[in-house]
Amino acid sequence: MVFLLSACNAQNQESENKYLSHVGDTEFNNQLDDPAFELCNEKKVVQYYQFSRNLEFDSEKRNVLKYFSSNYNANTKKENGYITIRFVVNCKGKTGWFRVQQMDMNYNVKLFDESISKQLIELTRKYNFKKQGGFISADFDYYKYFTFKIEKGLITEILP
Amino acid sequence: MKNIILLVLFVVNSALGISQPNCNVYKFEKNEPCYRGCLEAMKAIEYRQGSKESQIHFDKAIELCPSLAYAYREKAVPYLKRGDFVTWKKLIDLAVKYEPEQYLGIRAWCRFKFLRDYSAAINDIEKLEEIINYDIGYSGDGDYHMNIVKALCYKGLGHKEKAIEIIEKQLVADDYEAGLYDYLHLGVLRMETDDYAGAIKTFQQQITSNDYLAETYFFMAKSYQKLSDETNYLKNLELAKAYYLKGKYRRDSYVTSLDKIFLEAIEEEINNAFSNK
Repeated sequence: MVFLLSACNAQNQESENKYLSHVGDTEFNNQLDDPAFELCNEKKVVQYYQFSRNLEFDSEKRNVLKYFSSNYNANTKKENGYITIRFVVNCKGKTGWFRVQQMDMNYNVKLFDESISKQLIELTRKYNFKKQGGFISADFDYYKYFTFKIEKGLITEILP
Repeated sequence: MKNIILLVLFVVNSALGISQPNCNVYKFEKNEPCYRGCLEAMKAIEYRQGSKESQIHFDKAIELCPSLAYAYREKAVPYLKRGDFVTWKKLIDLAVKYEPEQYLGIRAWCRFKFLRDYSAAINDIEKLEEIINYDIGYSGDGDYHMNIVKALCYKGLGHKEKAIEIIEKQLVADDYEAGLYDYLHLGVLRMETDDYAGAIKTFQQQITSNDYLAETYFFMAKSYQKLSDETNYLKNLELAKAYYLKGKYRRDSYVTSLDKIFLEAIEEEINNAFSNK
């Protein structure tokens, strides 16, 4: 009986281990991430929408739109879908831990041509959050994302 | 007798505006697995949205009752908010599969709001209209009637006249009271289709209905500018700025709303107006 209970508990523990502490959590990956990027508070990274004033931050959205409009080279394959790049903004306004999701218009995973995906990833990495007036919290690191709606290779929307 | 009890429970549930399921419905139907699944889902929502504990309980709920649409929908929400749209879609599709009347509207709204997926949102709204014989209801955050969402989707696809037609029809629908931003969006559409006088009238209706938005005054200013009415152009720009500085503007925690204006844009417009004088 004790053996069965142990086995049962072990199985439960194993299945619970497949869950992240929070949906969307990113863990440092030494193949992908810059080791120089540091969290200010490793115990707690919050979400962008948990700051009531985040998206009202004036310069942020306008500058994001201007930056990608000026720097994105639309001479690409004429593909459609969405590319979401999620990252962390630390308390010093540095960004890191970039993770990418690419999907077609039916929300199925797809890989865009690198002329689109690699370009957007690099542009996002290079975007100077602090200089461009992005929202920075002195107290918390937070997750943010850019979602690019791509139609015929062009960026038609940047969310959120 | 069972049907009367179920009806009473449903009516009470609706009257209280509770969006959670009433697990006792499954008990009355003698559906023990779904009753227990529903209780697991109720446990899940006691934890922080997106937390491991909540996800574990939702998965237990689904294991017990694979048709529990509510569990799929609630499990999906943090994925949507955090930008994992692939996972969100798989889950919300299951909610729609099992309870299309409840969740088609929600899927449409989320597609519009988070992804500006206008065509797919319209399809969802129209599917919902086909399967129900009552009002299609409001967006998830309560800000918009779903017909206004449909109109904004048509606007997104470039069909502005169609969008105007849908909003106008909704505004005169029986027992309908204009939403917080209906006239703002209609006014902007009129402005964008060169009906500047019509736009100004509509913005005035917005002011009467909900005078809380810098956006209304900004776009009214732009409309006056097009009519070469410099006095009202400048006056409304200053009002737009004043409202903005008092914190009266379009807000949303998750996405930048349609027709939202930022302070920078207002100030730029004012600077240009005075430098052109």
